[in-house]
Amino acid sequence: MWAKSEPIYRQTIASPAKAWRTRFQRYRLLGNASQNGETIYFPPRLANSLSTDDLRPYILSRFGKIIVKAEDYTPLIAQAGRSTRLFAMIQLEDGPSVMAEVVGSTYEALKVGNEVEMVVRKWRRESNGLPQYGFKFRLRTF
Amino acid sequence: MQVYGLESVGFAIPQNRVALRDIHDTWQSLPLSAVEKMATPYRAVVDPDEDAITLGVEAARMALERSPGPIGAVVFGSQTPPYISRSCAAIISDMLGLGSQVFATDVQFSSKSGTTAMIIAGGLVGSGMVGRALAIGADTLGQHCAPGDPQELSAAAGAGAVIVGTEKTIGSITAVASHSSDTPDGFRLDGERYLRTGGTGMAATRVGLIDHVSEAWCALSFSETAGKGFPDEICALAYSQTNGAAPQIFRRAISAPIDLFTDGLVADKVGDTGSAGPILSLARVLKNVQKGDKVGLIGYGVGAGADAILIRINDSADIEDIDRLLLNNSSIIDYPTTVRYERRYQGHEYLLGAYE
Repeated sequence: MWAKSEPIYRQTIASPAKAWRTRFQRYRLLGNASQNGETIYFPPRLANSLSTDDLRPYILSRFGKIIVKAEDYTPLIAQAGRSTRLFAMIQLEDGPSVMAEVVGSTYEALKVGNEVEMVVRKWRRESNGLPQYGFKFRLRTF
Repeated sequence: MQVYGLESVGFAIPQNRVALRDIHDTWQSLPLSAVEKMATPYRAVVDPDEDAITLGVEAARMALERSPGPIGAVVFGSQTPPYISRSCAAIISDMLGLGSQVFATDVQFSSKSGTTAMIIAGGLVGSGMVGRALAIGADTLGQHCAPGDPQELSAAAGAGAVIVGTEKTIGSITAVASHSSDTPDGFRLDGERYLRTGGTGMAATRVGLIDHVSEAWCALSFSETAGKGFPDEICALAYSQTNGAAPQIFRRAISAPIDLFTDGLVADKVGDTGSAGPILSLARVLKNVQKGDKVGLIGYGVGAGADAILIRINDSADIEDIDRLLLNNSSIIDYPTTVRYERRYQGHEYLLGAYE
């Protein structure tokens, strides 16, 4: 089922335009926050119940802790050649939690409470064949 | 020309390792004795979702965390970039959030692409065009070597990044020299899937490496010790390396004492990291130098050319310990997994998964 590289999709694809618009979310965890910083949104919210003026760009911390872990055995194509994939809910240092793939570890080795860091890795390819890059996490090295 | 130097160094090495013995058992493309002479038990293997961009951005992020501040230029050196037309430097710049006003470009000169990027970054900073520049050398050679090709044995992956600036430098770049010629000891033609060597006459004799490194090193013009053999002022060497036997080959080129190569040897632990090799080597050397020491940095790329850079240490280097990645934190994988992770075989362009 593996190909020389990530195959090009015929369906269930990310649109190149949308992927381009949202690249900073994938590259740097760009969200937004209320002016007083009490509420952080990721992915960034375009408008809340008050006003768009109440939101400012906010880059989430690259570091966090595992709070829940799971393993995906679903053989979706082109998910980077791994037979299974490890996922986790990660509570970032500045509060919010994100769900992301965890690389460089195994389900058995990864423990709740482990410190992790964000890395940029390849996601799926876009419909035009372009590799799409985005955040994944791995155990903190330094 | 302003005085410029290295403000910080970052690096990235894939976590997976494969035993060269495992590759040899599969293909037997070299006698076992030749494999053992490489003095490289394991080489690094990329994760299936890694490439020169992801490794490069990881190394650059480490360098930026040590030396934060605005960056005016990004120069990305690689012989295995994911794109051969658009700029990987621009992508990396976006990933790091450096701002769209940054000058971004890629350079390519086989395994010296990293040192070449450093020289260009130094030129931009030294001339005053930009205040600080980021130079990256990154390669994923394992993905681009043919199955069974002896090059595959040590072809690994990695990335190194340096920030070149004028303030708070850990080392000043005091001299730069280069030597290039049409010497086809390795190449990859447009459209070809794999890197190739130039054949026994060019590659195995090391004529390209020895000639070019020797000439570039001599062109550094050591005024104090000219004509007196290897200059005493050099305390350590960082250099391109295809495997653990690299010191013996470089020694033939520049007649340096063998112990000067010891600290800078990384290929015996991770294999050939291509353009990243000299920078990874430098990161290891910088852990053991003191103020006033002089370090020689040599990049060699097939095709062929060599860069030589002389660095005078100004301050103890506050950089991460590269040995933590070289010696620990690795997972051993077998050769079939290596082939799968490196996507070495051509598969179908379009696939249907179980739910698609």
